[in-house]
Amino acid sequence: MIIPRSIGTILASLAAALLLSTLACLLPDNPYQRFQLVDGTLFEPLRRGYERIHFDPAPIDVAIIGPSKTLLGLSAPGIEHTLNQAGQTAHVANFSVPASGRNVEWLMLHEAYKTKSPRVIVVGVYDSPSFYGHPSFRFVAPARDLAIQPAPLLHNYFKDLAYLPARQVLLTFARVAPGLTGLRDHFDPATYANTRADFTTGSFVMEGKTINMALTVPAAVLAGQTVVEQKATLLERLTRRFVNRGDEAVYMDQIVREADAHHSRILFVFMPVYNRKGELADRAWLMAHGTLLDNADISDHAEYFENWEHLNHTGATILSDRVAKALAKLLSEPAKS
Amino acid sequence: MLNFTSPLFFVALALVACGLYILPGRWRAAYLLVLSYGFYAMVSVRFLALMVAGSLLAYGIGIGIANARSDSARVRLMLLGVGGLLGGIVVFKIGGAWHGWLLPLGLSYYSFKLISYVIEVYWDEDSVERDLTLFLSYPAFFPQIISGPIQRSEPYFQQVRALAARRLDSAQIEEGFRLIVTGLMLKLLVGDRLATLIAGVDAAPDSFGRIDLVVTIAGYTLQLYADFAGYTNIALGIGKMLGIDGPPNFNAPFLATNIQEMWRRWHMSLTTWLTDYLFIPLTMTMRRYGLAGLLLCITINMALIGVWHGFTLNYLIFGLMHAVYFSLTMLYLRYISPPRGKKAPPEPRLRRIARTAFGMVLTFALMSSTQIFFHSARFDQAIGILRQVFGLIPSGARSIGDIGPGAAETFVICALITVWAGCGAPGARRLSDRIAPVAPRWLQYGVGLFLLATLTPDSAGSFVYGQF
Amino acid sequence: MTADAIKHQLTDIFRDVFNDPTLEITDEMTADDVDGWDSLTHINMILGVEQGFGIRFSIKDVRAMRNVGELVQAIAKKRAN
Repeated sequence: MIIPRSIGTILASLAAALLLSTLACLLPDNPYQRFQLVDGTLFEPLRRGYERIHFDPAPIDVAIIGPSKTLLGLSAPGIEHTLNQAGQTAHVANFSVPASGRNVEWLMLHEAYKTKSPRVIVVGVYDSPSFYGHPSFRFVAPARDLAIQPAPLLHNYFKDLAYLPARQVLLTFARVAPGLTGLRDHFDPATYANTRADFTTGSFVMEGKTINMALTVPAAVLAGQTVVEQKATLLERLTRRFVNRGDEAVYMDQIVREADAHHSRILFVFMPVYNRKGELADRAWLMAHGTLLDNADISDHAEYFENWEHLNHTGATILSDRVAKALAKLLSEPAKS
Repeated sequence: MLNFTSPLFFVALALVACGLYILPGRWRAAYLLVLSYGFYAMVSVRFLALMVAGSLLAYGIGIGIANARSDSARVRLMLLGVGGLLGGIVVFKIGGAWHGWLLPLGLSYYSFKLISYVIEVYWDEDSVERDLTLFLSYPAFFPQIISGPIQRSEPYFQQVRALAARRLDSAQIEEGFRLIVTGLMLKLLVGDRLATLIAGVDAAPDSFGRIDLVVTIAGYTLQLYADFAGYTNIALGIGKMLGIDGPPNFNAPFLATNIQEMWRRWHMSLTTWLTDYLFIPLTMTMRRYGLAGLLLCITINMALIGVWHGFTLNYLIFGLMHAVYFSLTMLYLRYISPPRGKKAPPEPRLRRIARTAFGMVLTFALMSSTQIFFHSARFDQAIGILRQVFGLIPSGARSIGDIGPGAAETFVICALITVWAGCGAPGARRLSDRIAPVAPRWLQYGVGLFLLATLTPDSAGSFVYGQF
Repeated sequence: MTADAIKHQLTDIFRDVFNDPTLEITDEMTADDVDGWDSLTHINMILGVEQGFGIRFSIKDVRAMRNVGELVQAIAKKRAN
């Protein structure tokens, strides 16, 4: 069968576009500008995290990673203070970011190890982790980590990869003309000092909503907020079954490997949720690779919660205290071999 | 999936087009019908039933008129058909504008197609189409259902019949592909970017300077063109890939030197429809009343162009403004403007260029002035903008550049591209041919697709004309 | 009335309607061939023809005429009746 000329032309043009897009993915970028892509979005803490790692000379002894539960629920200054009072000086940095997805948490840890040497990693765990990757991954992850992932066909893989050529073109343009893109190529200590690092206190805006950490919310209101879990569609269930174990499993594995390779200890903190005492799917595995801190008792107390899944200032102080005590033990142990 | 800008849609289109050409010819009309109904059903089964009902009504009326034995029967049937279809449009437009009803997808477009069919059969019984499958695919034809263009029945039936009898036309398919790529580029890379910048001004117009507001108003026209012309090209391209050529909507509208000429170049499938089925019959009926009658017909015609978009005050004012501009232009051209034939006294070249340029700029300015009402959602917003332009309320100090980094530069580049495109993209074809030895067509398309993949702003665009 | 006479009178009407004292008409001429021939001037032209020849066209008639040649034929037919 003779293929009509136009079909050949169309196929050739698609191939050309694909080739050009692949070449675009190879364009180098300035990582600092890359991390600024999340400025003005919910994921802005990632950019501050990058700055803490690369531009802040203070060391990092404890790195906290996790979703918004740990961002609002663990206070780095609070933990430092408690440790100080116990006679241990440790620098704590909280790299948590809203929305769930272990891949970006692993990325922040990986980034931290480039210039710092945290001795303990605190990981926020919970009973309903995401199967899919983090929505911010496509913005901040290096091209290599987007293209080559530890498990084949993680579910956001193609979606994230589709954005890569556009991102690299934008970042290349940003290196040439940073003013036109708003992505700074130099670090500004004044802005850094003014960016919020501790989300366990005060009042701030997230996703358009104002969150006041000093508030206590009545139990009835909290009870009404519980989100009903969406049933997965047939297609989703099929892919989960046959494709891979999902973001949580694959990237938690990577986090543990990364920590082990750098001889860091791991503290898993089971983040409390109001009035729900779920169970961790991989409790045994977690306990085999680190220390697990249970906090089921906190979930009974409505006065510790700002919303059904996030602690308020009181709750965060209590949890940070517990974590600090657990850290004191881990930090005083001899270094892992 | 249904969005003409999603990659998934084009994957489906490729498969669908293959299916069309692999199928034996006699099944192709039915295939187009099934595709179009399937497409519509994914949006709303309820409204699909409505469209089928309207289509059957027009089909029946058409056959009735063709078989009718008396003139009075023919007239009654025609009025029944047109009235019923118009009634449907009016009911939903009023419901939509005053009660917030959801509008059936493509109601205005397919109803106008069916009305044109009924009137055509009334004027010439030979236009009747008795093949039900073929007929039903006409109003539903999915590339044209969302935002037009409004194709006439005769060319559509003729082409589908030809499609059933032939193999694929390679040149037509490539032309379709080219239209899709260039249409996507104009809509996504230019139109959507302009829309974002304009939205930045719309959020708080009185915080911007007067000059920036005026520039933004010019932007309304540019954005509408980039969005709608881009979309029309995509729709025409999709049709072409399926073997059906549709009517164009634009013919270098920014080259128009007066408003009258502009309406011959802008949203042509709608204006020719109104001319053929409303304006000419109306002026013929009112020929007794001379100039007054003609002005009334112009006003009615323009007002209807306005409210066709929606039964709101803003759209009506938009139409009436055009009625005034159009009438004044007509009077000027007929009574004041000197005769310009081939043997008229030669005009100095510089003067001719100046006159043409002045006409183009004035026409663009007039068009943009009407866009203030077309673009604003509410009457008070439009009035607010007008008052700010005339200095009746204070303006702020912000400029377009303050919307974000690179905003001013983006605006300028997009505006220049749109003006160039709106003037007929002079030189594009020639340039394409000139570089063909080094960069053959497929590479040019490939670069276009690459630009689409890398430069499309992340936010989803919306077809401005998809709500009508 | 002969076709030539019709054409002669028609030329005067066209020149007046389209504001071009030098315009010449041919059988194949359509709206695309004349500068400024649009729906407006088309109606004026039809009106001018009706008045000039003392005839009346129906909408059907107007639609059926595709070029000047068919217009001349239509005029001749109307005059003959």
